[in-house]
Amino acid sequence: MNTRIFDRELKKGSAELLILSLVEVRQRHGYEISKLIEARSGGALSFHVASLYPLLYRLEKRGWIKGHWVEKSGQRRRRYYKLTPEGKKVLKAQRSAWESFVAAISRITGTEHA
Amino acid sequence: MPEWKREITERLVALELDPAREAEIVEELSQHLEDRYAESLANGATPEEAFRAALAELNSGELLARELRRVERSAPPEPTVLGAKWRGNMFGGLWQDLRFASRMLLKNPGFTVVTALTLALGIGANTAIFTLMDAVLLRRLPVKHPEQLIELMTVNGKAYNSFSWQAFQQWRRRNQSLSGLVASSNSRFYCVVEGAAPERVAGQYVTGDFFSVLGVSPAIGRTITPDDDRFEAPNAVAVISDGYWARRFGRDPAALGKRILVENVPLTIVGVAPAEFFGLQVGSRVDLWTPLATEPLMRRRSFTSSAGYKWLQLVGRMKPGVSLDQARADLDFLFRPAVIEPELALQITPETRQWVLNVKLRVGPAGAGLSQLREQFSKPLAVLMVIVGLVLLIACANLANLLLARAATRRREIAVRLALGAGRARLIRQLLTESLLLALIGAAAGVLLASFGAEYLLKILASGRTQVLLDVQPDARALVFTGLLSVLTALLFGLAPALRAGRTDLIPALKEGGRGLEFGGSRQRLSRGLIVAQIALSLILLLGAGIFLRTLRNLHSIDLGFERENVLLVALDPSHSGYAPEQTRRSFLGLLEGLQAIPGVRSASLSWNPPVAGGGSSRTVSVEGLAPGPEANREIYVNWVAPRYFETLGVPLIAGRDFGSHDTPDSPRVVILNQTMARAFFGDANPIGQRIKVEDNDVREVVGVVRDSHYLEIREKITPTLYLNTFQSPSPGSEFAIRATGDPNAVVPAVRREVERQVKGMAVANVRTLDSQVDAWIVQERLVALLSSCFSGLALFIAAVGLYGVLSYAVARRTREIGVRMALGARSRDVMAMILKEITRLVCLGLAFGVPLALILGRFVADLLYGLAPTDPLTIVAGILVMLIVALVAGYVPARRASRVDPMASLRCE
Repeated sequence: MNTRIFDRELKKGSAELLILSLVEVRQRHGYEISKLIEARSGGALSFHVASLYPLLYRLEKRGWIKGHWVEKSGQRRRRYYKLTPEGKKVLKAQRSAWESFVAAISRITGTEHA
Repeated sequence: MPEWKREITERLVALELDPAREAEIVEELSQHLEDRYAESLANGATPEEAFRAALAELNSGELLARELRRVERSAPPEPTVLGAKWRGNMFGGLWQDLRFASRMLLKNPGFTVVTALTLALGIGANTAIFTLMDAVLLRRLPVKHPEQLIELMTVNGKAYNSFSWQAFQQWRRRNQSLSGLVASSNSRFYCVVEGAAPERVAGQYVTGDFFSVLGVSPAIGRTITPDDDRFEAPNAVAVISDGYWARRFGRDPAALGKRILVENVPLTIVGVAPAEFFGLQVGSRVDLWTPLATEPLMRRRSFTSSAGYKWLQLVGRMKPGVSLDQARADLDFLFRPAVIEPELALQITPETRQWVLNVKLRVGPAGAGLSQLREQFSKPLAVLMVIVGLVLLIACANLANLLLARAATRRREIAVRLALGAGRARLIRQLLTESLLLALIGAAAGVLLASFGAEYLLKILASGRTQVLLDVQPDARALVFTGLLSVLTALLFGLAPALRAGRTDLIPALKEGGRGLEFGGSRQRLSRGLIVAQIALSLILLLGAGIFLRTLRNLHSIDLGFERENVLLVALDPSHSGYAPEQTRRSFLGLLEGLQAIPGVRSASLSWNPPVAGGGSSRTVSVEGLAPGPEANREIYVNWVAPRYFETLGVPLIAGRDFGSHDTPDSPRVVILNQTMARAFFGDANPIGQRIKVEDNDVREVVGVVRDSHYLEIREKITPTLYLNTFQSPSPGSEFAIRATGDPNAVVPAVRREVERQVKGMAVANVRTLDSQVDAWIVQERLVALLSSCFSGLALFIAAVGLYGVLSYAVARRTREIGVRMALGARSRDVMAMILKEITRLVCLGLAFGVPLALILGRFVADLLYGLAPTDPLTIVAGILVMLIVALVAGYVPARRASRVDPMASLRCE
């Protein structure tokens, strides 16, 4: 199997979950989100502008996150995103779906290794 | 610092985003790139390296554009994960649409009021007629499983649900398909309740299983049971209606167990029927039910005694699983032994025999009650429903035209909204919401109108010969009907203009500004099409009104043979007065003298049967000395009348003399013939002095011949009629006729006083004028004629306004063209002719559709007409002429305006 395609599909499938998780605790702006993903995945995952922002806008249009401009003194204004109550519900559902998916996958792939 | 914004903007150009949104995205993304750039620098990269690293984030840029296009250009965000949100959006949008729509309507109060009024009239009329139709034709009886009920009828021409006791027994015993067959018979009962004046109530004899088969449980007490209905030992009990209980006993439960005197038989009240149960006949109310077995106690001669009495209405309940066809076949199998054979066994004339042999059985559903009222009113109501439906269609066509014109003036507004990003679908929805709001305002006013209208219509209907007691307040069903109707209406008149507005081309509309001229040829075609439709539909209504009005006129101009004006008809009820026949005779003679002495009374008389009351009597008559033949022994209509009867009704005496005071029970018996009778029996010979045998042994001498006049009803063909002297018969008639010098109602108080003085204790059963007695026959025709002419007038007016509007618009649009024509030498007359030609073209198109349609529809109303065919050429020509004249009048003003165009001014203003 072509691993590049596998990576892309995995990323696509998990991107929403990643972003929702990152804005769950507090609001963040786009750059911060991209840095966090890169850092926490140890460089395994990275989102460019071209894929990150369209995704943010899509989540916002669905009403799962809400973006708003914040001005801090001495800085240019930035757009921060936070999770909406509806987004919370979606995150919860996606998270548990993801967990059971991962568990299922590892059960299958795990037995083959054993 | 690199120009991030330019880099990003360049990559987004192809998206053609809304400028505000684009600016926002550019700002956010450039912020990101700037952060990345700063970070790279901080990590020790050269500005060159940092710039490349940041730019790498944008990738090729194609990915960004593609991804963004998906998000930003995708259809409205309606996530499918959570239904609640979706609905919230829809109603949120709807609320916004509604608010906007009401603002738009308030901005044009004139337009709003006119259209809402038009709609209120259209929808109100539809609701009113529907309410009546529902009450008369559709509503189910308040019984268990009404769909299982059937009724039996004999058909030979008209259908009658009236059968003999003997026929009922046969069917009841031998049918296979019914779980129950009940019989009932209406009767006016003379009823005495302790502590109240005697009164006549609407009574009904019913079989013991009547209530149980129908599944009607009592409100209090019990219903009549089979045990009450044993002929050898009937229980003298009664169940009363809720209405009678309230009226006579004030809903006192102590009414149970009370004894009331019904036709001199004491009955015990054992129960009260539920309030919603009125009996089986929609439009009438029963006050009191009593077992059929009590009938022999109340009548001197019971109707159960002979198969000749057809007095029972039969209603059955089909067994579960039995179809109407099966029940029909089953009951039809028993029809001969139950009805035909017993009938043929009676002594009947050959004509009657032939008639009986041709009678067929009809079995029909009775879930909506007995069909008498339905048969009578379904056709006129259907006609009225079509008429008001057409009016609403015309109103819709007119409104659609108005909205088209308004859409032209709102074109700039619509273009601006489209330019600001409104979706076309959303725009159409918005415009439809405006139409719907208008329709709903119209519907609300219409329901108000309908509640008065239906009452009024009912009042007119009830003034006819059939008792009609109905609840016609618009109920839930009517409201649902109105709601659906208004939505349909809104779609009808709002859809085409909305779709058209949705197709507005932005650039020309914005460039042209608010002038709203030149909306394109297709709008003109559409609005002309609507005008043609209006003309066609109006013509149909016009022709309908024409034939119904002429029917009414024909009915009015029937020569009844008597003078209907200034005659008062007073019916007395001697049945429970305690007067012996001889005493009645003497006091009536005295009363007649007293009545004639009242100032304002020209003459007074009395008869057994009042004129044109729907009923009469007949006897077998033969002429002495005439050879037996077809004319020798015949059923002839007879009436028993007092002296001066013909004078009072205004029927001229042609030969011989009237009855006089010298004709007494002891003097030779005398008769008077009508002309048809004289001609049929004696040809050209003089009938005076001839002797006529009535029934078997009553020989009388002919003393006079009177002009033919209508006896039973106003549409009958005059038949031979014999008048006997009522004072020479055992008991005289009690239907008084009084001719006044002026308004007959003016003498009513004096007549009542005289009756009270001369025949104490005898009830006045009925007072009406001969005029109203005649009019009662044509109530339906009058109603249809009245409504169809009112509505066709309204339709004409609406169509004329529409035509005026469209022509005015066309003239305004063509001002410049007309100016050029006139500058080139066209005269006012030519311009006028041009416009009038246009009108004629539209009208002719309308007529081309309208006349054939009217002829097709006419076939369905043929049996409602009298004295003319639906294709009556005079009516059609008159209708076309009226249509043309109205169209020309409507078009005259715009045509004149066009002919007065000043070429210089019109050219300059462009």
